[in-house]
Amino acid sequence: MAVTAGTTATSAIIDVHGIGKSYRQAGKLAGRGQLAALRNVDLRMETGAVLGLLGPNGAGKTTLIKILAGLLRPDSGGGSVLDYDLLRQHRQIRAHVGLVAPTADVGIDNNLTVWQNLDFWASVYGLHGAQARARIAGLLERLGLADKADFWPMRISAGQRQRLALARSLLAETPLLFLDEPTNKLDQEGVRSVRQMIAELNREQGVTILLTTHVMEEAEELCGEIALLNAGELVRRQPTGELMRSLQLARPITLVIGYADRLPPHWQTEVSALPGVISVMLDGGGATPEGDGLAGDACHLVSDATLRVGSVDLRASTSTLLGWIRKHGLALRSMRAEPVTLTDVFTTLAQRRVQPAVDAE
Amino acid sequence: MTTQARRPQTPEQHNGDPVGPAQPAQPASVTRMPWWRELSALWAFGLREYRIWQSYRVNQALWIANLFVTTLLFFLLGQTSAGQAQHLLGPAYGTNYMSFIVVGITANVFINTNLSDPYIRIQRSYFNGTMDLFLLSPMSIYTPLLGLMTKSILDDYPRLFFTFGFGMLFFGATFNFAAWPLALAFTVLFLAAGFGLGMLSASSFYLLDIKKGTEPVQFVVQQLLATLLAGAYYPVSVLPKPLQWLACLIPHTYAFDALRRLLDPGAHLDSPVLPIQSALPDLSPLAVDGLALLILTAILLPLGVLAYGRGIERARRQGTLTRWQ
Amino acid sequence: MQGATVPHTTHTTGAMQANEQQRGGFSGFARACWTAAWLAYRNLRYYPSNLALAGAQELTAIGVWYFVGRFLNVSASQAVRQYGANYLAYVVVGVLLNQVCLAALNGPFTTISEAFWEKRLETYRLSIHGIWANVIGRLGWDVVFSTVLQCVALALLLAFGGLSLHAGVNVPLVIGASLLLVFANAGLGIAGASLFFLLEVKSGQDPITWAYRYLVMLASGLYVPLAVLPGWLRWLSGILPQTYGLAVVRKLVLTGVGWQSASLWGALAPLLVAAVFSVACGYVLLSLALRRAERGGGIGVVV
Repeated sequence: MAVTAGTTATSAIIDVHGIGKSYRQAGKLAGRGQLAALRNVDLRMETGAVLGLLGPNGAGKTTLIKILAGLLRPDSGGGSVLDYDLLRQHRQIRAHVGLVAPTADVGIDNNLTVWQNLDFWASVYGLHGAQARARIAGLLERLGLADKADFWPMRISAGQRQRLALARSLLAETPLLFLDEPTNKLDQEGVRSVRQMIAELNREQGVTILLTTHVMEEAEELCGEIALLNAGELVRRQPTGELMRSLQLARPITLVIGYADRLPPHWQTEVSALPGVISVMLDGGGATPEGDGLAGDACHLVSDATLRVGSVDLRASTSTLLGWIRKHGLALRSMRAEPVTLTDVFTTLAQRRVQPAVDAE
Repeated sequence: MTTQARRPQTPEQHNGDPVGPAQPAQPASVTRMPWWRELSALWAFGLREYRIWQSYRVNQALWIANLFVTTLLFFLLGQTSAGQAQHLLGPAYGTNYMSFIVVGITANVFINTNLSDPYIRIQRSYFNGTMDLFLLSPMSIYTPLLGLMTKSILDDYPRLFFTFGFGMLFFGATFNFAAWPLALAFTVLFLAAGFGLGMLSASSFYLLDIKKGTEPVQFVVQQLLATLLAGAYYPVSVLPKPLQWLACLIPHTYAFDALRRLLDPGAHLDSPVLPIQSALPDLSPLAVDGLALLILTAILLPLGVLAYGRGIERARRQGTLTRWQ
Repeated sequence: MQGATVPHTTHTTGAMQANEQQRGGFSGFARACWTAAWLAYRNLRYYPSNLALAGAQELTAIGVWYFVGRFLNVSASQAVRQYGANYLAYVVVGVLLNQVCLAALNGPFTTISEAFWEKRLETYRLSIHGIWANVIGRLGWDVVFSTVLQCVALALLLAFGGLSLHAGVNVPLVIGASLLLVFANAGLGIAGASLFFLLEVKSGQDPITWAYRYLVMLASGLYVPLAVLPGWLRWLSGILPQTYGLAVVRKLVLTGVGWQSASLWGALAPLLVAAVFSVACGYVLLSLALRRAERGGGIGVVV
């Protein structure tokens, strides 16, 4: 393995430390000093990983991506990306990373067909002739755009344009890919196909991916690890499952159970004992306890009831809840899990920071 | 560009579990394109710009009409002076007013490309977010700029043939092409100096933060000094003396003077017109023009290239390469 | 408190209609136009250099023709005998007036194009005065700005450039004739702006104003006296408002004719007709274009 002179061999594809970046304030805020976009961020990423970088607007996600891609020089800190020095070898870094911007239309020319757009970018990345044609055809096929090759970009859907942007960034076959909100503004179909593509890239080609998103569900689905960025600081980083469990974020699962059913004795205890479940509540149903009405008695439902279950492990809770429903022969009308939002995550984190101070008092 | 070896993940390693002991990344051995690949990328830009240019068919007809109308206008102006205009040209520029005008119009049009276009291309790359993407490639930072200018070159450079054609076919312009190699050499120097100015203009986008509106370098040089003072539409001798000296600061003045002496019928190589030519009597006016263009090119071209590189680096530090934030 | 009545809400139909009447009407429209003009001024001032450079650009155009005039003055003055035999004054006066006319001619299309690409057009359409206030207001600013610059240029050329005008100029008539010519150009400009929707000309310049500009350059007497024009161009002169407007203003400014002059009215009457006709056509065409766009894909959409 050839290591570029002047760099240190490292097992990580990204290994940066102390990254800081401030922007000069403009307009009416000029003269009020700098706006700190990143503060002392350390980030290490192994080859072949998929890391989700989450944070609210203005957290510094795009700034960090641009620094790692060699498009932006940090004010402080350093390290290496792809074994190239972040500060001195940014040109080499740029030549070996791919980037998909939040807006699908960046880099797509409306005066060229889909094929012509990719043909142009293939030349930009140094691909020519048969190699370029094969690569373009293969990407269009994999991204479901083969029948759109002769279409103008304005005549295809937003989701297809986003896939076209993804195809553009994949032409260069870079080992490291930065995806900045890749499903932004897409419809459900578009979101599904892009997420599928990202998963395949990592699974089948081993591409290392750093993905930014607002959507927790997307991060959970695609990322092995999640890093949380807030106000320029990296506040938490954990494998995805561990993060959700450690935050104890209750995801509401809503089940509608048919009337004339009978909830078994100790149903509350049983449901609470299911994996991941942290809270149980019954709404409606006109539940009439059998017997003396003591806790633990079975309940007879006179109308449809809504069972609200709070869970910190959606996958485990869902399957076991369904098993419980089947076991007791209950008629399930519907079942829905609400997504955890970034707001939930950061609110919980903020509460955790305040609570130790309160406890200490 | 060689590709890096991949390590496909097993399903067990996907999503949720660490990858295991990671192997160091294997950077590709090529991080800069060889020169012939840069030319290939340049060709790709040209092809793209040509395709875009083709889709504006009405514009193609309009710019031919524009040229015809401008040439006709000055033909009519010549008629207004009852054929006396050529006597006002002096011994230096010959006896054909239309020839004088055609050279001025033509040279002014294609220097406008080299001087004004770089800023416009950088501005467009900034606002449509493509500058980041161009830099995320093995291309040199200059290739996208040159490539994007292809459309304007396609638009403007052929105007030379149309203007000369209209002038000769319809408006009585005549030319002496015997000294065409020297005329070509002056043209190349002129274009190079103009490109240096264009790069300086483009660098102001990042160095001076001029993102919208009128860019001062190309405005002052092309729209102000060159239009008013360089002698595109009238001899420099019409201007007051202080303005004539001011005209000597820009490459256009020397290029117009030299090309007219070389191409206009009856033109004299020896009669000084510019004040600097009178101030250097030991040198022929053509030699003064050549020397001045050489010096201006030697200063402006490297300066422009350097300033553009510095501009890109400054934008990288400030995070202002594109509008996408 | 007992007996206290609840304050009457303003959100009744009657109150809303009264509110709309106040915001509508001519005064409301005028206020909206004023706001649009003020916005155009603020946009120019946002980049301080723009204001100075926009001024310099206008002055450069005049400067070029000033020097062309100087170059050809001696030999071309005979061709402008009826305007005082001073070609320099002839061409400078024409260019100064034409610059203001160009602002009126080019403004409407530019206004609509910018609003479209900046996605403001549909928002304007949703307001009471719609797009018209934006077009008229911006047009007003462009004309005023250009007029100020031309006056500065005129003052400089009179003071330092050796330009001379007739001593007894009928200023109100000059202003009146100039205004008529500006209105005629504005009407054409608005008609040109309608092509933004009627012909889907979404960038560059519309064909009407493009063609008109070049016809004016060649056949209106702007640079080249009508007597010099070949026959096929001279008949074109008769259909251009600029031909009459330039003739009237030049006669007033360079020869000092008064309102009694028959030759003056010979050019002023067609100018008046052209102005009325042009404004009416412009209004009808743009209204038609907007209605047609809304029946189609909408005014905010590229077809």
